[in-house]
Amino acid sequence: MNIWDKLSSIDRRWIFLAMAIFVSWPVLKPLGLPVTTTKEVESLYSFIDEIEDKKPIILALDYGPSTAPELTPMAKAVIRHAISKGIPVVGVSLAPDAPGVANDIWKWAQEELGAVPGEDIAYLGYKAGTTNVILQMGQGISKAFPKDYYGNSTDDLPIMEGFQSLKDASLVLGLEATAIMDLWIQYAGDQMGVPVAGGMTAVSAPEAYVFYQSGQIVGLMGGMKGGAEYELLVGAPGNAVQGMDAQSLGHIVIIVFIIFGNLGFFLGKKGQDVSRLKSLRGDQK
Amino acid sequence: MILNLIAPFNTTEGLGIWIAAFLTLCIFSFLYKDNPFYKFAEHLFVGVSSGYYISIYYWNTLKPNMIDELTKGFTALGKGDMQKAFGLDESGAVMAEPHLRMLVPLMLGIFILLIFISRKNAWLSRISFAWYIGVASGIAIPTAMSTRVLLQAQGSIRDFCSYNADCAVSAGLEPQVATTALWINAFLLLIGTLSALAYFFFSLPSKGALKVMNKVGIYFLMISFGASFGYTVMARISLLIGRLQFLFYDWLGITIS
Repeated sequence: MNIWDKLSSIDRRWIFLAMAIFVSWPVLKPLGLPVTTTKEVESLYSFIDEIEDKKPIILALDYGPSTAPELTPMAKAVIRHAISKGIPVVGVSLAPDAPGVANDIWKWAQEELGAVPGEDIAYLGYKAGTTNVILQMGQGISKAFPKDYYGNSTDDLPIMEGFQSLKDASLVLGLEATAIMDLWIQYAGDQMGVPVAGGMTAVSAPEAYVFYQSGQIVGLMGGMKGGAEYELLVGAPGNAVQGMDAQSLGHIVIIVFIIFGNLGFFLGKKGQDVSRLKSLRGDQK
Repeated sequence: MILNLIAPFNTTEGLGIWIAAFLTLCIFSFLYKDNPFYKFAEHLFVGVSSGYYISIYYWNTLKPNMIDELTKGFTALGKGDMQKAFGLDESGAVMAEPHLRMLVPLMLGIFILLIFISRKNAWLSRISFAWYIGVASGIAIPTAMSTRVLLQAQGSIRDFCSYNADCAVSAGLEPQVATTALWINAFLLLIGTLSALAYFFFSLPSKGALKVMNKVGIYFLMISFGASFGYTVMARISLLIGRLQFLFYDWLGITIS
């Protein structure tokens, strides 16, 4: 077995160990690698920055703890921005595992930003039915959510004054780990004419870029990088910016192992066997 | 980097952090090899998730939408108020609260369960499925067609129009000053869309111009798969970073100075 064969049959646990070391290191000791902003995130920032009528933003927290490292920094950065501009934020969830995460964010907003519950922020909780809930919200917010997550009557909340239906929102920002983003675009955006933006997990983000290009959404944050960009634009670097160093080193490890794997395959015995097989097939033709 | 006290064990929050840290390490132990700690955490996760979802669906859907409505309906019926029992106000208009009208969806739900209970009466489930598919299709198809097909088709040539002031104004777009880079982008988008569509056109043999289009389409598709792979790697590393931040900052109490 030559070195190339050894490279292509390396024990996967060495890869895990390398990944653990290179991702842990910058988490413990940040390297301060630069993070640049993209126009998709900048346009969302500008859109929120230019909201003048102080109509509420609907923040759809449609994700659970499994994707919180990617999406919670986005939620916090956007809430920080909105509260600093005096724009109220109303949270809803169409994913059943979201309320726990959302409740933590709401507590953070009260403690860290001094947001007043019911006036600056409100969380209406989770409701099953996805499409039906969005359509119901179009008829009336309190029709879909008669009470908020904490048991208060939705209509009695000061934040709801003049905010009867989804159509009165200045923006719907979907923080999504699933295909619910499509539904917000379809029903809130294209059907009701409410501006929609997305904050997607990195896995889902590539599918959402087409909606940004076609103008169906006003902005897009993709994965932890999107959250880091928004944190920088708001001027309050948080967990996402801290995580970007680890992200970069993690990607370098993956790239190096992909190169090693391919070199091992093409220069090793397996690759030579495949080329021999191909040439034999060519001879038969 | 400052190492503070490890999360206190004697508070509710501290205990929660310790349990979460232990379970995280149990799951990570699978990276070395399968073991009883991993199995324990895996089974616990499945059990807790099932319990959580059942509870969420009961308290958020079944109880408020079905049990509470039927209770109110039967209470009104017991008082002899037939109109209120079926969710009608004094003038006979339909109220938002359905009360006993919920018997119809309850019946449709029971019909679906008949598949598992009675083979003889299982055919009744077709009524429920027919209703569900009919309504869902009616709601979804027109908007999906508009969002996914018509507006996307428009989007593929949108840039060309926005570079021309007259066209942009008539189409309601914001006029843009076209630079060489923007023109290249617009052409790439158009060529990518057309060639990827051509790759999935199977009604003609792949020869001549169509073969060239197919080939170009494959390259565009491969680039998009590569982008998706890169984003997937980023997503997975983000989750790892999230767990490490939890272990280092919340559990071990390390603060970055």
